[in-house]
Amino acid sequence: MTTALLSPPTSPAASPPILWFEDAAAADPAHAGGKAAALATLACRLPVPDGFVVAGTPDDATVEEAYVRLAERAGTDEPLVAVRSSAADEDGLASSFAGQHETILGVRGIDQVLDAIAACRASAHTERALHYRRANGLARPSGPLPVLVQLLVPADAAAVVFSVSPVMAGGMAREVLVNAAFGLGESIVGGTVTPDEWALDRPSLHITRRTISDKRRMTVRAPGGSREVDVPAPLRRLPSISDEQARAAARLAIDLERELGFAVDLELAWTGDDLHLLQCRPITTLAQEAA
Amino acid sequence: MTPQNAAQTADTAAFVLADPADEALFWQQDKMHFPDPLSPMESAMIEGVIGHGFSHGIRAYDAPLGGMRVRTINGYQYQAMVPMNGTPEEMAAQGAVAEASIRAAIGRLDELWYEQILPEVREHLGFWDSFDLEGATRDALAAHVAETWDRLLRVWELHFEIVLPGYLAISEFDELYRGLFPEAGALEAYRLLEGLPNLTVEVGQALWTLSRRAGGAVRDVLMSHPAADVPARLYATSEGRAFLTELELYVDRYGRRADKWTIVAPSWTEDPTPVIERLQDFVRRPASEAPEVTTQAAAAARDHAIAEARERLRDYPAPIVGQFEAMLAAAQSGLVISEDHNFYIDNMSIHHLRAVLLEAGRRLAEDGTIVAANDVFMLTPEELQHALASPGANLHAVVEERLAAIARQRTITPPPVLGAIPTAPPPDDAFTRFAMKFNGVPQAPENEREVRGSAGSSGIVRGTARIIRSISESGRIRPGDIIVAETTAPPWTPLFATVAAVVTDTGGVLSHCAVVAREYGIPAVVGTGIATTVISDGQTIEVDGDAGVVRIV
Repeated sequence: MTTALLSPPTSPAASPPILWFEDAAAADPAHAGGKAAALATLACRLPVPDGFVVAGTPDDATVEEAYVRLAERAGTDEPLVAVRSSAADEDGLASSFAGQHETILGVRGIDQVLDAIAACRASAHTERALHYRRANGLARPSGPLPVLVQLLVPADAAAVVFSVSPVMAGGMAREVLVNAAFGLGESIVGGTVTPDEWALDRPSLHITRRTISDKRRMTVRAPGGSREVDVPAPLRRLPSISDEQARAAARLAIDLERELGFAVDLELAWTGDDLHLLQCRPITTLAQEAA
Repeated sequence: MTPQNAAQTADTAAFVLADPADEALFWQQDKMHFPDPLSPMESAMIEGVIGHGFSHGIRAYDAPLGGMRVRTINGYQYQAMVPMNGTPEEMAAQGAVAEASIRAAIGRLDELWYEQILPEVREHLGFWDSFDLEGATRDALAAHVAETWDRLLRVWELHFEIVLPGYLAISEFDELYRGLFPEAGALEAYRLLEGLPNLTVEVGQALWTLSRRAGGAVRDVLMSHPAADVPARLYATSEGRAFLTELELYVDRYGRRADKWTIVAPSWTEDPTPVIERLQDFVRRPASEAPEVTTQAAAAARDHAIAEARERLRDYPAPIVGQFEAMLAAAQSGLVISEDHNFYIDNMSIHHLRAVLLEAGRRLAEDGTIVAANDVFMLTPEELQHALASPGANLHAVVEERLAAIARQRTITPPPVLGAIPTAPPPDDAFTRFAMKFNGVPQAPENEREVRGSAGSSGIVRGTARIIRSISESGRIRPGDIIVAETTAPPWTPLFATVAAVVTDTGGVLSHCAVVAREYGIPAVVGTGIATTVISDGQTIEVDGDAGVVRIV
């Protein structure tokens, strides 16, 4: 199959300023940006939280209309959403942009949504983001940065999954790595928690290593956003997810890798037993070595 | 200082560990349960029965300990934990096993208590209740004494099988709560556990209910005669006799309890004076001061605190919220069980042991082996068994000598610790955290006009200090006074409805005194170490239960 992740950015033809995951243009990184295009491609058959991409420069009323429609589709008034940047070359094979652009969690109501979109767009021009671009040989951003507005999953636990262990890329790439912790994934991504880790043999998915760590911090939803709090001492050493959940996460990573043709880095979350796919991107360090 | 205290001297040199193997251990005097010098029969009960039960408990939950050793030195009771024999890795592994083992029990506390342990305890209590002590032949009585010791061993095994997970459930909930809400005060988690129906509170409420049933003539008797004269005065009128019948029903249901954990003090069933003294106070009080009012207020405050905590956890991950709910439920069960086990096990088993021994004492007194039935407590279990089997012995001299020894020991202040004082900080495990909250951690005062201990129960209040060493002194307590005691025991708790606050030398936030003070809604400072020696009877003091400070005004 053709995938957005593999397609190079093409010159944007005219497209509506709001793209829903099911819209064909949403799967095109030239319109929706790399991150959103990757999710849009998968959203039809995998549990990707519903959302839309602000691709052009719509007026506030158009964005509001989209937010109201998202609320209707979710069956709740004023749903909490995550607002993330999705640059055209973001989450591409060459570079991941991880953490270089703004992500705003726990946004509620149209006013907050509009503010968050503006903040995301501004972040594309921060010194840090521009430096990253220069260092990675990327062009300065042209045109409005696509922004993804997506339902925020009330995550009991989150995980980052590598279909191939990045630390063993040299040769023993026979392990899938699952890093998980309580709450939203930001504490894992931001490195403020030492997550639990499962190493699973591939393709058997036999668990070869399980390290339940002392997880001191977690990110929880909070009014007006999210906040990082202490995990109470008696819970720090409890496994954040079950072996079964770790295995399901690893299976999904292997399936996606096979399908997409490159090693993937997933961000997942669970609400109860329900799994959500929040992000899927190539493992850039491996891709660069292969190149 | 009271005259008694003035005569006391700390004579550490006389406290020698006889067994060289004991010197390597850290010995602590258990002043919370046994502040007074012990009779030989009590030493046997504590070393043989309670020590056995504790060792059973730590084995049952795989604790990383070699066991507990109990010694009576100069009449005072000391206990030491025997460390586990193993490498640090082996001990850590054993610690993990213990934690899993105790967590499994915490997860099924109600089932453990109501379906397993309490029915078995009741079976043993039924055995003692149904035995006709006075009608038994000598041989039957001797056999009954032997079986009583055997059954006590089992009852106290059950005691520690339930109290370890019961108290750990409360302690670990407190840890969880303060972990979730790091800005919470020391007593905040306990607000979510207050005002639950339990037998300690029921004993007080039932007495209040009885006080409301006193008609005019009965009230007159209660208000105008010393407690000791009340039964005879009541017996003189038909209204009084009817009330006496109700009083007997009350004592029969709730009165198998004496004073602290001793067998030498009479149970309420033998001497209802402490009950009558409370009635004398209660009949003077308006209905608005009913203990039920306090309990209902505590229950409302509890529900409010729970709702508030749930609201603050609304957006937390389900495993965290689930753990909070599970630990809250377990801690609430643990709190009720921490009270109810006292009622059934501590109070009743010691009551029955006393009753059995006293009957044996009466027979020996008839024989002339000892002078009075009470002297039986001065014998060892072996001496008693031997004397029952072979009448004619004369143990007067033995009894005299031991009574004299106890009188001498009373004038000594025993050192709080003996043996090898640990230099390493205590380990951070669930058992140790609980032990520190149960026993308290001594605090140094900042000036000579204050005494510091653990925060036991919230509130600030002023009142007159009453130094109380046993429940037999409770007649001196007036409403609004503050109890200052070495320790308080379950049979004291109706007093908590009379006083304004309580201060103890011993115990921590999880000690019985602190738990009950919270139930009765009065301030408490516990584990001061020195309150009874620094504060004088009659002094005005201010108790700050949140700060854990007592000021001499």
